[in-house]
Amino acid sequence: MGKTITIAPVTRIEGHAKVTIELDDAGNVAETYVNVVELRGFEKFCIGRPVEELPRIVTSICGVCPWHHHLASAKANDAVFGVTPPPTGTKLRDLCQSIAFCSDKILHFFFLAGPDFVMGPDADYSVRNVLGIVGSNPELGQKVVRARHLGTQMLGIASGKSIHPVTAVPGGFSKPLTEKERNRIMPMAQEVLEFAKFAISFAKENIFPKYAEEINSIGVIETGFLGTVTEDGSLNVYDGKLRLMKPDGTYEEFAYDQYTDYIAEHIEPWSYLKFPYAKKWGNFNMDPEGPVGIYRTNTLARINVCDKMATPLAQAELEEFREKFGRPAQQTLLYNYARLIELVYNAEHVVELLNDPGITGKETRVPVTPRAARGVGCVEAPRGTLIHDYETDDNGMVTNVNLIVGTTHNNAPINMSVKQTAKSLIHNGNYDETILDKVEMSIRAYDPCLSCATHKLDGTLPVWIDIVNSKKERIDILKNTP
Amino acid sequence: MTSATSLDVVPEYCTKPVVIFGCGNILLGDDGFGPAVVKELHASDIVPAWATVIDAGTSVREFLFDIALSEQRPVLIVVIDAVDIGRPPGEVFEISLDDIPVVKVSDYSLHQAPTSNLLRQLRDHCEVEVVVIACQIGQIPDEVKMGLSPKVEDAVTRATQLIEKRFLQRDRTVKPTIEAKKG
Repeated sequence: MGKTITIAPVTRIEGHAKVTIELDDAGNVAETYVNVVELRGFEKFCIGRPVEELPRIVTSICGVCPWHHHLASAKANDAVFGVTPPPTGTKLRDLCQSIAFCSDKILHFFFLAGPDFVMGPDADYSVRNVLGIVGSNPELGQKVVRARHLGTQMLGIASGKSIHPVTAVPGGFSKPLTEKERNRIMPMAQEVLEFAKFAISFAKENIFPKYAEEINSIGVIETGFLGTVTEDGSLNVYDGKLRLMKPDGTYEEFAYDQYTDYIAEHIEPWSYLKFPYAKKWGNFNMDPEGPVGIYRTNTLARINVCDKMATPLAQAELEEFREKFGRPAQQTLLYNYARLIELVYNAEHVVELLNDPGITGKETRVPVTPRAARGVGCVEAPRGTLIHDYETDDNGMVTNVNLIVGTTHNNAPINMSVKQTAKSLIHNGNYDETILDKVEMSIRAYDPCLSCATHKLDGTLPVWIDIVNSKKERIDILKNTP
Repeated sequence: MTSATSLDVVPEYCTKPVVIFGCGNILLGDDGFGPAVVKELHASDIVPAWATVIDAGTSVREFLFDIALSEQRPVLIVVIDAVDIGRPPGEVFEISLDDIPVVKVSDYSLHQAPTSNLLRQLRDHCEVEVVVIACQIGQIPDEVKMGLSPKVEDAVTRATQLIEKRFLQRDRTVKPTIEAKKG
């Protein structure tokens, strides 16, 4: 009898997903689905509002990426109003973007995906979480939390608010950074950079070597990649052109306001979330055996598409990474390695920006005048390329909004990775908690923010497995809590 | 490394004895209850120096993880949140973490005490007292919509008064414990 295994929800990711694994009559994987929930109706909610309000409103979309939505929205506003922020305004936005990136990388590696590595996927569930890390390595826990505190404090000094930012405005940044503020932030930035260097060394010495087998087996799929690079091909998370790389490493580039010429959105009846794909590559197909049009975003994608890193330590790390894994690297768990290279880059970039005399310039914004226009803003968010696309009428009121968030780009690849993992690990109906956790692990590597609508995070949420027969009748429930 | 920042790097939500988080998404109707109570607490000027009140929005996890890992932690964390457990809309009550049924934990729900397992870990392993003050929602819209329903709007002031009476009148720096939980 064919049966279905349901893992719901996936733990330690923002939002929720329900993983369904359908087994055939022989007990092997027939099909898999990652069902997600997203915040619906946001685009409609924005229509009729003054477009300059959106950078403040969009910070409530996501509790994880408020800064990145804030900045993408501010850039879309620049385009709608037809203005270019002064250099200092751009640098201050870039500074906040990279500080926020540092905090996110630390959070994800050590809190969300890290426990699988630090504690090991086979560790008892009760210790395979953030407090398990503290228990096994208290000194590491303290370093992690201090680095995150520093990030929060730097954002507070630079912008006034770290959680619900308001300082990026159409045409620039609402306040300059004083010399005194820069001098306060600088030692914090240097300390975060020291932490970044420690983190990647720690991971390379103590974590990644233990999991070479998992890295080469869990969730490995072959796709293209999308990310932002500068004119000289360096990775950049605030601005640049989009580079869409095929699995063979060839690529094409385009300005982000031309994204609709290159990216289309496929719909599946079982998922609220759309499936973006590269429309010039052929008809959408996410079968892991022969995918068409599928690309990934997020850390590994950015590391793959860029030619180089703009800072020296990150460049050295990139060269070492490519020496080991080639370009493009396809192993899904390498997202975690790439995440730490990005941490080093952003930490270096923050120090670099603070050393730039222009960062304390007085001219941080230019005036704007409402007009009917379309404007696209794009930044790299931790989970991938984030696109805000607005249209306004003559009075600057919003008439149309389209958002593509990072996780949406990865919807098809997440589904492919789950299917690949499930197929490789479940045979003849045999499965246990360890196998199912590896399925979850392949999802968490993408760091998905599957529902910005919910503020729940259930740190040790139980895994529930519904087993139903081919008629969808539940015949068993497996769970790891009373 | 520098020690210049070592004194001011630990945030208030780790150093103050009492930390109150208003949780919820203001874009989703009654789910914005927690932030609304925080707004009223700030406006009413009743928060003593030994407490801090934070609109955590949808980011409470950011704070709780840091508290869990920090050397300094509050004595008491109060979480204000919207829930849906079948009570009359607008009713304000305290929920014990142990009373949050496991079945609710795994349901997808916009209006449930946040991060319940992490809160349990803070209580059980970090010696932090955790109290959840909840409000029964009227309705959470299917799509984005700002603003509370009338009964939940009315509950904001009652919740503010309850929080002041329960947690903000007695100086926690003197006796860092809380009274037995009320039913």
